[in-house]
Amino acid sequence: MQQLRKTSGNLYLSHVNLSFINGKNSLPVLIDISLEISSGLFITVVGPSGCGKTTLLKVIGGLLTKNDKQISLKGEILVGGVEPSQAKFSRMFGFAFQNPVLLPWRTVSSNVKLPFELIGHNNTQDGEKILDLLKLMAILNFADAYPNQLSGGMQQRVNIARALVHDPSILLMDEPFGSLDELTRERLNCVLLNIHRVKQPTIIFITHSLTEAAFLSDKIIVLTHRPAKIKCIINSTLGPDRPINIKTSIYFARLVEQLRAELADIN
Amino acid sequence: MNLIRQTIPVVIFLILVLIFWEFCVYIFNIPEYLLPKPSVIFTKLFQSLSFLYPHIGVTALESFLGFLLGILLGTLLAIVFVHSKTLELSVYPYAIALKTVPIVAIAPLLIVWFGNGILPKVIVAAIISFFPVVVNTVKGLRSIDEEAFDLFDSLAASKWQVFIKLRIPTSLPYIFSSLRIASTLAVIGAIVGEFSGADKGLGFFILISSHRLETVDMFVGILLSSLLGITFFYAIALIEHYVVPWSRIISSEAE
Repeated sequence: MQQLRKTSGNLYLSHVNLSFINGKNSLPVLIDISLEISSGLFITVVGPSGCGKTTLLKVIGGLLTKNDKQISLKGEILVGGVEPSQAKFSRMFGFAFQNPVLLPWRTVSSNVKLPFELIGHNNTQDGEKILDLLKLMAILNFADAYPNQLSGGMQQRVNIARALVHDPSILLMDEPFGSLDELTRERLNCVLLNIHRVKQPTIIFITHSLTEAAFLSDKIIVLTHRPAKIKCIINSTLGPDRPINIKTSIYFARLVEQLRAELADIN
Repeated sequence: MNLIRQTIPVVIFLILVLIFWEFCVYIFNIPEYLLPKPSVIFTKLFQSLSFLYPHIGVTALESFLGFLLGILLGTLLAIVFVHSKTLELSVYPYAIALKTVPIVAIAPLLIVWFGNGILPKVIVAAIISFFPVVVNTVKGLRSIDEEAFDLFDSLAASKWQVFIKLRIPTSLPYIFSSLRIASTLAVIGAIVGEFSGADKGLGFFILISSHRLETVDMFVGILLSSLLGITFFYAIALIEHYVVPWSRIISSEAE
Protein backbone atom coordinates (compact mmCIF):
# COMPACT_ATOMS: atom_id res chain seq x y z
CA MET A 1 0.00 0.00 0.00
CA GLN A 2 2.75 2.37 1.02
CA GLN A 3 4.66 1.40 -2.10
CA LEU A 4 1.62 2.07 -4.27
CA ARG A 5 1.15 5.48 -2.73
CA LYS A 6 4.78 6.31 -3.35
CA THR A 7 4.45 5.81 -7.09
CA SER A 8 0.88 7.04 -7.56
CA GLY A 9 1.86 10.48 -6.30
CA ASN A 10 4.63 10.85 -8.89
CA LEU A 11 4.27 13.69 -11.29
CA TYR A 12 5.98 14.05 -14.64
CA LEU A 13 5.55 16.91 -17.08
CA SER A 14 7.60 17.09 -20.21
CA HIS A 15 7.56 20.10 -22.55
CA VAL A 16 3.96 21.01 -21.79
CA ASN A 17 2.63 23.84 -23.95
CA LEU A 18 -0.87 25.16 -23.64
CA SER A 19 -2.76 27.85 -25.54
CA PHE A 20 -6.33 28.99 -25.31
CA ILE A 21 -7.95 29.06 -28.71
CA ASN A 22 -10.58 31.64 -29.52
CA GLY A 23 -11.61 31.42 -33.16
CA LYS A 24 -8.42 32.04 -35.11
CA ASN A 25 -6.57 33.61 -32.20
CA SER A 26 -4.47 31.54 -29.94
CA LEU A 27 -3.35 32.82 -26.57
CA PRO A 28 -0.31 30.99 -25.21
CA VAL A 29 -0.54 30.39 -21.46
CA LEU A 30 2.02 27.73 -20.59
CA ILE A 31 5.32 27.40 -22.44
CA ASP A 32 7.63 24.43 -22.23
CA ILE A 33 6.84 23.37 -18.68
CA SER A 34 8.93 20.38 -17.65
CA LEU A 35 8.79 19.04 -14.12
CA GLU A 36 9.58 15.89 -12.28
CA ILE A 37 8.14 15.59 -8.81
CA SER A 38 8.46 12.52 -6.69
CA SER A 39 5.62 11.35 -4.55
CA GLY A 40 4.92 12.93 -1.19
CA LEU A 41 6.57 16.29 -1.81
CA PHE A 42 4.96 19.59 -0.88
CA ILE A 43 5.31 21.88 -3.88
CA THR A 44 4.21 25.49 -3.98
CA VAL A 45 3.79 27.51 -7.14
CA VAL A 46 4.33 31.26 -7.08
CA GLY A 47 4.26 33.79 -9.89
CA PRO A 48 2.63 37.04 -11.02
CA SER A 49 -1.17 37.30 -10.99
CA GLY A 50 -2.84 35.80 -14.03
CA CYS A 51 0.30 34.05 -15.21
CA GLY A 52 -1.32 30.65 -15.61
CA LYS A 53 -0.89 28.99 -12.22
CA THR A 54 -4.50 27.83 -12.07
CA THR A 55 -4.28 26.60 -15.65
CA LEU A 56 -1.22 24.53 -14.71
CA LEU A 57 -3.16 23.03 -11.81
CA LYS A 58 -6.10 22.18 -14.06
CA VAL A 59 -3.85 20.53 -16.60
CA ILE A 60 -2.25 18.36 -13.93
CA GLY A 61 -5.68 17.53 -12.48
CA GLY A 62 -7.13 16.48 -15.81
CA LEU A 63 -9.70 19.31 -15.94
CA LEU A 64 -8.13 20.65 -19.12
CA THR A 65 -7.34 17.84 -21.53
CA LYS A 66 -6.22 17.41 -25.11
CA ASN A 67 -9.86 16.70 -26.00
CA ASP A 68 -10.99 20.22 -25.07
CA LYS A 69 -11.73 22.23 -28.18
CA GLN A 70 -10.92 25.59 -26.62
CA ILE A 71 -7.33 24.71 -25.88
CA SER A 72 -4.32 23.33 -27.63
CA LEU A 73 -2.28 21.15 -25.32
CA LYS A 74 1.04 19.64 -26.28
CA GLY A 75 3.66 17.67 -24.38
CA GLU A 76 3.47 14.76 -22.02
CA ILE A 77 1.87 14.69 -18.59
CA LEU A 78 1.97 11.61 -16.41
CA VAL A 79 0.42 11.32 -12.98
CA GLY A 80 1.47 8.15 -11.19
CA GLY A 81 2.49 6.83 -14.58
CA VAL A 82 -0.82 7.51 -16.38
CA GLU A 83 -2.47 10.44 -18.16
CA PRO A 84 -4.37 12.88 -15.93
CA SER A 85 -7.74 12.03 -17.51
CA GLN A 86 -7.12 8.41 -16.54
CA ALA A 87 -5.76 9.31 -13.10
CA LYS A 88 -9.00 11.23 -12.56
CA PHE A 89 -10.94 7.98 -12.84
CA SER A 90 -8.68 6.33 -10.27
CA ARG A 91 -9.68 9.22 -8.00
CA MET A 92 -6.11 10.26 -7.38
CA PHE A 93 -6.93 13.95 -7.09
CA GLY A 94 -8.23 16.10 -4.31
CA PHE A 95 -9.02 19.63 -5.44
CA ALA A 96 -9.32 22.65 -3.18
CA PHE A 97 -10.40 25.59 -5.29
CA GLN A 98 -9.84 29.27 -4.72
CA ASN A 99 -13.50 29.70 -3.81
CA PRO A 100 -14.81 27.15 -1.35
CA VAL A 101 -17.44 25.90 -3.91
CA LEU A 102 -19.62 24.35 -1.23
CA LEU A 103 -23.02 23.11 -2.32
CA PRO A 104 -25.49 25.37 -0.47
CA TRP A 105 -28.15 22.66 -0.20
CA ARG A 106 -25.87 20.34 1.71
CA THR A 107 -24.80 20.59 5.33
CA VAL A 108 -21.11 20.79 6.15
CA SER A 109 -20.73 17.06 6.78
CA SER A 110 -22.75 16.21 3.71
CA ASN A 111 -20.54 18.48 1.60
CA VAL A 112 -17.47 16.67 2.87
CA LYS A 113 -19.17 13.37 2.06
CA LEU A 114 -19.65 14.32 -1.62
CA PRO A 115 -16.43 12.69 -2.92
CA PHE A 116 -17.45 9.37 -1.33
CA GLU A 117 -20.84 9.59 -3.03
CA LEU A 118 -19.39 10.38 -6.43
CA ILE A 119 -16.81 7.62 -6.15
CA GLY A 120 -19.47 5.17 -5.02
CA HIS A 121 -17.42 4.48 -1.92
CA ASN A 122 -19.54 3.22 0.94
CA ASN A 123 -17.92 2.14 4.16
CA THR A 124 -19.25 2.00 7.68
CA GLN A 125 -16.25 4.05 8.82
CA ASP A 126 -16.99 6.90 6.38
CA GLY A 127 -19.08 8.87 8.86
CA GLU A 128 -16.40 8.57 11.50
CA LYS A 129 -13.72 9.63 9.04
CA ILE A 130 -15.67 12.75 8.09
CA LEU A 131 -16.12 13.69 11.73
CA ASP A 132 -12.40 13.15 12.39
CA LEU A 133 -11.55 15.49 9.54
CA LEU A 134 -13.99 18.13 10.75
CA LYS A 135 -12.42 17.85 14.18
CA LEU A 136 -8.96 18.27 12.69
CA MET A 137 -10.22 21.40 10.90
CA ALA A 138 -11.86 22.63 14.12
CA ILE A 139 -15.33 22.83 12.58
CA LEU A 140 -16.89 19.80 14.24
CA ASN A 141 -19.50 21.98 15.94
CA PHE A 142 -20.73 23.08 12.53
CA ALA A 143 -21.18 19.61 11.03
CA ASP A 144 -24.93 20.15 10.60
CA ALA A 145 -24.80 23.81 9.58
CA TYR A 146 -25.40 25.00 6.04
CA PRO A 147 -22.51 26.69 4.20
CA ASN A 148 -24.04 30.17 4.16
CA GLN A 149 -24.20 30.11 7.94
CA LEU A 150 -20.39 29.88 8.05
CA SER A 151 -17.69 32.53 7.83
CA GLY A 152 -15.28 32.54 4.87
CA GLY A 153 -12.54 30.89 6.93
CA MET A 154 -14.81 28.09 8.04
CA GLN A 155 -16.02 27.53 4.48
CA GLN A 156 -12.40 27.13 3.38
CA ARG A 157 -11.83 24.51 6.05
CA VAL A 158 -14.79 22.55 4.74
CA ASN A 159 -13.36 22.92 1.24
CA ILE A 160 -10.06 21.42 2.39
CA ALA A 161 -11.71 18.66 4.41
CA ARG A 162 -13.64 17.69 1.28
CA ALA A 163 -10.46 17.62 -0.80
CA LEU A 164 -8.85 15.27 1.73
CA VAL A 165 -11.65 12.92 2.61
CA HIS A 166 -11.03 10.24 -0.01
CA ASP A 167 -7.27 10.12 0.69
CA PRO A 168 -6.14 11.42 -2.70
CA SER A 169 -2.52 10.77 -3.61
CA ILE A 170 -2.30 14.23 -5.15
CA LEU A 171 -3.75 17.35 -3.55
CA LEU A 172 -4.19 20.31 -5.85
CA MET A 173 -4.78 23.53 -3.95
CA ASP A 174 -5.48 26.82 -5.67
CA GLU A 175 -4.68 29.56 -3.20
CA PRO A 176 -7.11 28.15 -0.65
CA PHE A 177 -6.07 30.50 2.15
CA GLY A 178 -5.91 33.65 0.05
CA SER A 179 -8.92 35.30 1.63
CA LEU A 180 -8.18 34.41 5.25
CA ASP A 181 -6.78 36.55 8.02
CA GLU A 182 -3.13 35.99 8.96
CA LEU A 183 -3.75 34.03 12.17
CA THR A 184 -6.30 31.64 10.67
CA ARG A 185 -3.99 31.18 7.75
CA GLU A 186 -1.07 30.24 9.98
CA ARG A 187 -3.18 27.80 11.92
CA LEU A 188 -4.48 26.12 8.77
CA ASN A 189 -0.93 26.03 7.37
CA CYS A 190 0.10 23.99 10.41
CA VAL A 191 -2.92 21.71 10.06
CA LEU A 192 -2.05 21.15 6.41
CA LEU A 193 1.60 20.35 7.21
CA ASN A 194 0.40 17.90 9.81
CA ILE A 195 -1.91 16.17 7.34
CA HIS A 196 0.91 16.08 4.81
CA ARG A 197 3.21 14.40 7.32
CA VAL A 198 0.63 11.77 8.26
CA LYS A 199 -0.90 10.92 4.86
CA GLN A 200 1.99 11.94 2.61
CA PRO A 201 0.09 13.05 -0.47
CA THR A 202 1.90 15.03 -3.13
CA ILE A 203 0.68 18.59 -2.73
CA ILE A 204 0.71 21.26 -5.41
CA PHE A 205 -0.17 24.49 -3.69
CA ILE A 206 -0.63 27.85 -5.38
CA THR A 207 -0.05 30.94 -3.29
CA HIS A 208 0.77 34.62 -3.50
CA SER A 209 2.29 34.76 -0.06
CA LEU A 210 6.06 34.34 0.00
CA THR A 211 6.13 33.43 3.68
CA GLU A 212 3.45 30.84 3.16
CA ALA A 213 5.41 29.36 0.26
CA ALA A 214 8.61 29.30 2.30
CA PHE A 215 6.92 27.84 5.36
CA LEU A 216 5.12 24.99 3.61
CA SER A 217 7.22 23.79 0.71
CA ASP A 218 9.84 21.24 -0.06
CA LYS A 219 10.21 22.87 -3.47
CA ILE A 220 9.00 26.21 -4.76
CA ILE A 221 8.30 26.65 -8.44
CA VAL A 222 8.58 30.26 -9.65
CA LEU A 223 6.67 31.05 -12.83
CA THR A 224 7.18 34.03 -15.14
CA HIS A 225 4.54 36.38 -16.55
CA ARG A 226 2.11 34.90 -19.03
CA PRO A 227 2.86 32.95 -21.10
CA ALA A 228 4.32 31.20 -18.07
CA LYS A 229 7.69 29.51 -18.20
CA ILE A 230 9.45 28.05 -15.21
CA LYS A 231 11.77 30.78 -13.95
CA CYS A 232 13.42 28.55 -11.41
CA ILE A 233 12.78 25.83 -8.87
CA ILE A 234 13.99 26.56 -5.36
CA ASN A 235 14.70 23.69 -3.01
CA SER A 236 13.86 24.47 0.56
CA THR A 237 16.76 24.64 2.97
CA LEU A 238 14.41 24.00 5.88
CA GLY A 239 14.16 20.50 7.31
CA PRO A 240 10.98 18.45 7.39
CA ASP A 241 10.18 19.72 10.89
CA ARG A 242 8.35 23.03 10.69
CA PRO A 243 7.42 24.53 14.03
CA ILE A 244 5.77 27.93 13.68
CA ASN A 245 8.78 29.71 15.22
CA ILE A 246 10.88 28.58 12.28
CA LYS A 247 9.62 31.78 10.69
CA THR A 248 11.98 33.78 12.90
CA SER A 249 15.04 31.75 11.91
CA ILE A 250 17.75 33.10 9.68
CA TYR A 251 17.27 30.25 7.17
CA PHE A 252 13.66 31.16 6.76
CA ALA A 253 14.49 34.82 6.23
CA ARG A 254 17.07 33.90 3.61
CA LEU A 255 14.62 31.63 1.80
CA VAL A 256 11.99 34.36 1.66
CA GLU A 257 14.62 36.83 0.48
CA GLN A 258 15.77 34.49 -2.27
CA LEU A 259 12.16 34.03 -3.35
CA ARG A 260 11.55 37.75 -3.35
CA ALA A 261 14.66 38.34 -5.46
CA GLU A 262 13.53 35.75 -8.01
CA LEU A 263 10.08 37.29 -8.28
CA ALA A 264 11.46 40.82 -8.46
CA ASP A 265 13.74 39.66 -11.26
CA ILE A 266 10.67 38.80 -13.36
CA ASN A 267 9.22 42.28 -13.17
CA MET B 1 -43.26 36.11 15.69
CA ASN B 2 -41.86 37.53 12.49
CA LEU B 3 -44.93 36.32 10.62
CA ILE B 4 -47.28 38.08 13.03
CA ARG B 5 -45.29 41.29 12.77
CA GLN B 6 -45.55 41.10 8.99
CA THR B 7 -49.24 40.20 8.94
CA ILE B 8 -50.64 42.84 11.32
CA PRO B 9 -50.02 45.92 9.12
CA VAL B 10 -51.43 44.09 6.07
CA VAL B 11 -54.63 43.20 7.92
CA ILE B 12 -55.01 46.67 9.41
CA PHE B 13 -54.64 48.24 5.97
CA LEU B 14 -57.27 45.90 4.52
CA ILE B 15 -59.73 46.76 7.30
CA LEU B 16 -59.15 50.49 6.75
CA VAL B 17 -59.77 50.14 3.00
CA LEU B 18 -62.98 48.18 3.61
CA ILE B 19 -64.24 50.76 6.11
CA PHE B 20 -63.43 53.59 3.67
CA TRP B 21 -65.22 51.73 0.86
CA GLU B 22 -68.30 51.05 3.00
CA PHE B 23 -68.33 54.67 4.12
CA CYS B 24 -68.06 56.09 0.55
CA VAL B 25 -70.87 53.92 -0.78
CA TYR B 26 -72.98 55.07 2.17
CA ILE B 27 -72.15 58.80 1.90
CA PHE B 28 -72.46 59.12 -1.89
CA ASN B 29 -75.39 56.77 -2.03
CA ILE B 30 -73.90 54.65 -4.81
CA PRO B 31 -76.45 52.18 -6.20
CA GLU B 32 -75.73 48.52 -5.42
CA TYR B 33 -75.58 47.43 -9.08
CA LEU B 34 -72.58 49.74 -9.53
CA LEU B 35 -70.66 49.23 -6.31
CA PRO B 36 -72.03 47.13 -3.46
CA LYS B 37 -70.90 47.64 0.13
CA PRO B 38 -68.28 45.21 1.43
CA SER B 39 -70.69 44.16 4.17
CA VAL B 40 -73.27 43.17 1.56
CA ILE B 41 -70.66 41.25 -0.46
CA PHE B 42 -69.48 39.29 2.56
CA THR B 43 -73.01 38.50 3.69
CA LYS B 44 -73.84 37.25 0.19
CA LEU B 45 -70.62 35.25 0.12
CA PHE B 46 -71.49 33.31 3.26
CA GLN B 47 -75.12 32.86 2.22
CA SER B 48 -74.28 31.40 -1.19
CA LEU B 49 -71.19 29.45 -0.21
CA SER B 50 -72.90 26.05 -0.23
CA PHE B 51 -74.32 26.82 -3.70
CA LEU B 52 -70.88 27.95 -4.91
CA TYR B 53 -68.84 24.99 -3.66
CA PRO B 54 -69.22 22.96 -6.88
CA HIS B 55 -68.17 26.00 -8.96
CA ILE B 56 -65.11 26.56 -6.77
CA GLY B 57 -64.30 22.86 -7.01
CA VAL B 58 -64.44 22.80 -10.81
CA THR B 59 -62.24 25.88 -11.21
CA ALA B 60 -59.79 24.56 -8.61
CA LEU B 61 -59.59 21.22 -10.41
CA GLU B 62 -59.07 22.84 -13.82
CA SER B 63 -56.37 25.15 -12.45
CA PHE B 64 -54.62 22.35 -10.60
CA LEU B 65 -54.60 19.91 -13.53
CA GLY B 66 -53.55 22.66 -15.93
CA PHE B 67 -50.80 23.70 -13.54
CA LEU B 68 -49.51 20.11 -13.28
CA LEU B 69 -49.61 19.62 -17.04
CA GLY B 70 -47.90 22.97 -17.63
CA ILE B 71 -45.04 22.40 -15.21
CA LEU B 72 -44.56 18.82 -16.40
CA LEU B 73 -44.24 19.87 -20.04
CA GLY B 74 -42.30 23.00 -19.13
CA THR B 75 -39.73 21.12 -17.06
CA LEU B 76 -39.31 18.36 -19.64
CA LEU B 77 -38.84 20.85 -22.46
CA ALA B 78 -36.33 22.83 -20.38
CA ILE B 79 -34.29 19.66 -19.74
CA VAL B 80 -34.35 18.87 -23.45
CA PHE B 81 -33.23 22.42 -24.32
CA VAL B 82 -30.36 22.32 -21.87
CA HIS B 83 -29.07 19.05 -23.30
CA SER B 84 -29.58 19.76 -27.00
CA LYS B 85 -28.37 22.99 -28.50
CA THR B 86 -29.96 22.10 -31.86
CA LEU B 87 -33.42 21.64 -30.41
CA GLU B 88 -33.10 24.78 -28.37
CA LEU B 89 -32.13 26.82 -31.42
CA SER B 90 -34.96 25.42 -33.53
CA VAL B 91 -37.82 25.17 -31.01
CA TYR B 92 -37.21 27.78 -28.32
CA PRO B 93 -38.04 30.77 -30.56
CA TYR B 94 -41.45 29.22 -31.30
CA ALA B 95 -42.08 28.60 -27.63
CA ILE B 96 -41.40 32.30 -27.04
CA ALA B 97 -43.50 33.35 -30.08
CA LEU B 98 -46.42 31.27 -28.80
CA LYS B 99 -46.22 33.28 -25.62
CA THR B 100 -47.04 36.48 -27.51
CA VAL B 101 -50.37 35.07 -28.75
CA PRO B 102 -52.98 36.36 -26.29
CA ILE B 103 -54.34 33.43 -24.34
CA VAL B 104 -57.84 34.95 -24.55
CA ALA B 105 -57.64 34.57 -28.31
CA ILE B 106 -56.76 30.87 -28.15
CA ALA B 107 -59.39 29.88 -25.59
CA PRO B 108 -62.47 29.97 -27.94
CA LEU B 109 -60.61 27.81 -30.45
CA LEU B 110 -59.89 25.22 -27.77
CA ILE B 111 -63.60 25.21 -26.88
CA VAL B 112 -64.37 24.41 -30.54
CA TRP B 113 -61.81 21.61 -30.54
CA PHE B 114 -62.40 20.02 -27.16
CA GLY B 115 -66.00 20.91 -26.28
CA ASN B 116 -67.53 22.45 -23.22
CA GLY B 117 -66.00 20.19 -20.55
CA ILE B 118 -63.02 20.82 -18.31
CA LEU B 119 -60.37 19.70 -20.86
CA PRO B 120 -60.10 22.99 -22.82
CA LYS B 121 -59.82 24.93 -19.52
CA VAL B 122 -57.10 22.59 -18.32
CA ILE B 123 -55.26 23.20 -21.60
CA VAL B 124 -55.58 26.99 -21.34
CA ALA B 125 -54.29 26.84 -17.74
CA ALA B 126 -51.44 24.56 -18.86
CA ILE B 127 -50.41 26.83 -21.74
CA ILE B 128 -50.36 29.92 -19.57
CA SER B 129 -48.41 28.32 -16.71
CA PHE B 130 -46.00 26.59 -19.08
CA PHE B 131 -43.89 29.60 -20.14
CA PRO B 132 -42.49 30.87 -16.87
CA VAL B 133 -41.56 27.27 -16.03
CA VAL B 134 -39.63 26.73 -19.29
CA VAL B 135 -37.81 30.04 -19.10
CA ASN B 136 -36.85 29.78 -15.42
CA THR B 137 -35.94 26.11 -15.51
CA VAL B 138 -33.64 26.64 -18.50
CA LYS B 139 -32.05 29.52 -16.62
CA GLY B 140 -31.76 27.44 -13.45
CA LEU B 141 -30.26 24.39 -15.14
CA ARG B 142 -27.76 26.66 -16.88
CA SER B 143 -26.75 28.52 -13.76
CA ILE B 144 -24.26 25.99 -12.45
CA ASP B 145 -21.04 27.41 -11.23
CA GLU B 146 -18.02 26.57 -13.40
CA GLU B 147 -15.94 25.70 -10.35
CA ALA B 148 -18.62 23.38 -8.97
CA PHE B 149 -18.58 21.61 -12.30
CA ASP B 150 -14.77 21.33 -12.07
CA LEU B 151 -15.17 19.85 -8.61
CA PHE B 152 -17.44 17.12 -9.96
CA ASP B 153 -15.16 16.63 -12.95
CA SER B 154 -12.08 16.23 -10.74
CA LEU B 155 -13.79 13.26 -9.11
CA ALA B 156 -14.75 11.83 -12.52
CA ALA B 157 -18.48 12.25 -11.82
CA SER B 158 -20.82 10.83 -14.47
CA LYS B 159 -23.23 13.02 -16.45
CA TRP B 160 -26.07 11.53 -14.43
CA GLN B 161 -24.38 12.41 -11.13
CA VAL B 162 -23.80 15.97 -12.34
CA PHE B 163 -27.48 16.19 -13.31
CA ILE B 164 -28.90 14.77 -10.09
CA LYS B 165 -26.45 16.12 -7.55
CA LEU B 166 -25.60 19.47 -9.14
CA ARG B 167 -27.95 20.68 -11.88
CA ILE B 168 -31.25 19.78 -10.25
CA PRO B 169 -30.52 21.22 -6.78
CA THR B 170 -28.96 24.35 -8.32
CA SER B 171 -32.07 24.96 -10.39
CA LEU B 172 -34.65 24.22 -7.67
CA PRO B 173 -34.86 27.81 -6.34
CA TYR B 174 -35.38 29.02 -9.93
CA ILE B 175 -37.98 26.33 -10.60
CA PHE B 176 -39.89 27.19 -7.44
CA SER B 177 -39.98 30.88 -8.21
CA SER B 178 -41.49 29.97 -11.59
CA LEU B 179 -43.97 27.63 -9.91
CA ARG B 180 -45.18 30.45 -7.71
CA ILE B 181 -45.83 32.59 -10.81
CA ALA B 182 -47.38 29.65 -12.68
CA SER B 183 -49.72 28.78 -9.78
CA THR B 184 -51.58 32.07 -9.99
CA LEU B 185 -51.45 32.12 -13.79
CA ALA B 186 -53.10 28.70 -13.88
CA VAL B 187 -56.15 30.07 -12.05
CA ILE B 188 -56.31 32.96 -14.51
CA GLY B 189 -56.11 30.46 -17.37
CA ALA B 190 -58.97 28.38 -15.99
CA ILE B 191 -61.20 31.44 -15.54
CA VAL B 192 -60.41 32.71 -19.05
CA GLY B 193 -61.25 29.25 -20.38
CA GLU B 194 -64.57 29.33 -18.57
CA PHE B 195 -65.39 32.74 -20.01
CA SER B 196 -65.15 31.25 -23.49
CA GLY B 197 -67.76 28.60 -22.87
CA ALA B 198 -68.70 26.65 -19.76
CA ASP B 199 -71.65 25.59 -17.68
CA LYS B 200 -69.93 25.61 -14.33
CA GLY B 201 -66.96 27.16 -12.55
CA LEU B 202 -66.21 30.55 -11.03
CA GLY B 203 -65.61 32.12 -14.45
CA PHE B 204 -69.00 30.91 -15.60
CA PHE B 205 -70.57 32.26 -12.37
CA ILE B 206 -68.98 35.70 -12.84
CA LEU B 207 -70.09 35.78 -16.49
CA ILE B 208 -73.77 34.93 -15.87
CA SER B 209 -73.87 37.33 -12.91
CA SER B 210 -72.62 40.01 -15.28
CA HIS B 211 -75.37 39.20 -17.81
CA ARG B 212 -77.96 39.49 -15.03
CA LEU B 213 -76.33 42.66 -13.68
CA GLU B 214 -75.96 40.99 -10.28
CA THR B 215 -72.95 43.00 -9.22
CA VAL B 216 -72.84 41.56 -5.70
CA ASP B 217 -72.50 38.05 -7.15
CA MET B 218 -69.75 39.25 -9.48
CA PHE B 219 -67.79 40.57 -6.53
CA VAL B 220 -68.32 37.27 -4.73
CA GLY B 221 -66.96 35.42 -7.78
CA ILE B 222 -63.98 37.76 -8.12
CA LEU B 223 -63.20 37.43 -4.43
CA LEU B 224 -63.36 33.64 -4.54
CA SER B 225 -61.16 33.38 -7.64
CA SER B 226 -58.54 35.62 -6.05
CA LEU B 227 -58.67 33.50 -2.92
CA LEU B 228 -58.14 30.44 -5.08
CA GLY B 229 -55.04 31.98 -6.67
CA ILE B 230 -53.69 33.04 -3.30
CA THR B 231 -54.26 29.55 -1.90
CA PHE B 232 -52.31 27.98 -4.78
CA PHE B 233 -49.53 30.51 -4.35
CA TYR B 234 -49.12 29.83 -0.65
CA ALA B 235 -49.38 26.07 -1.13
CA ILE B 236 -46.37 26.28 -3.47
CA ALA B 237 -44.54 28.59 -1.06
CA LEU B 238 -45.17 26.09 1.73
CA ILE B 239 -43.80 23.19 -0.32
CA GLU B 240 -40.80 25.32 -1.26
CA HIS B 241 -40.20 26.04 2.42
CA TYR B 242 -39.61 22.33 3.04
CA VAL B 243 -38.05 21.24 -0.25
CA VAL B 244 -35.57 24.11 -0.66
CA PRO B 245 -34.61 25.01 2.92
CA TRP B 246 -31.24 26.43 1.83
CA SER B 247 -32.84 29.11 -0.31
CA ARG B 248 -34.79 30.18 2.77
CA ILE B 249 -31.51 30.48 4.64
CA ILE B 250 -30.05 32.51 1.79
CA SER B 251 -32.96 34.93 1.75
CA SER B 252 -33.13 35.28 5.53
CA GLU B 253 -29.39 36.01 5.59
CA ALA B 254 -29.95 38.63 2.92
CA GLU B 255 -32.57 40.47 4.90
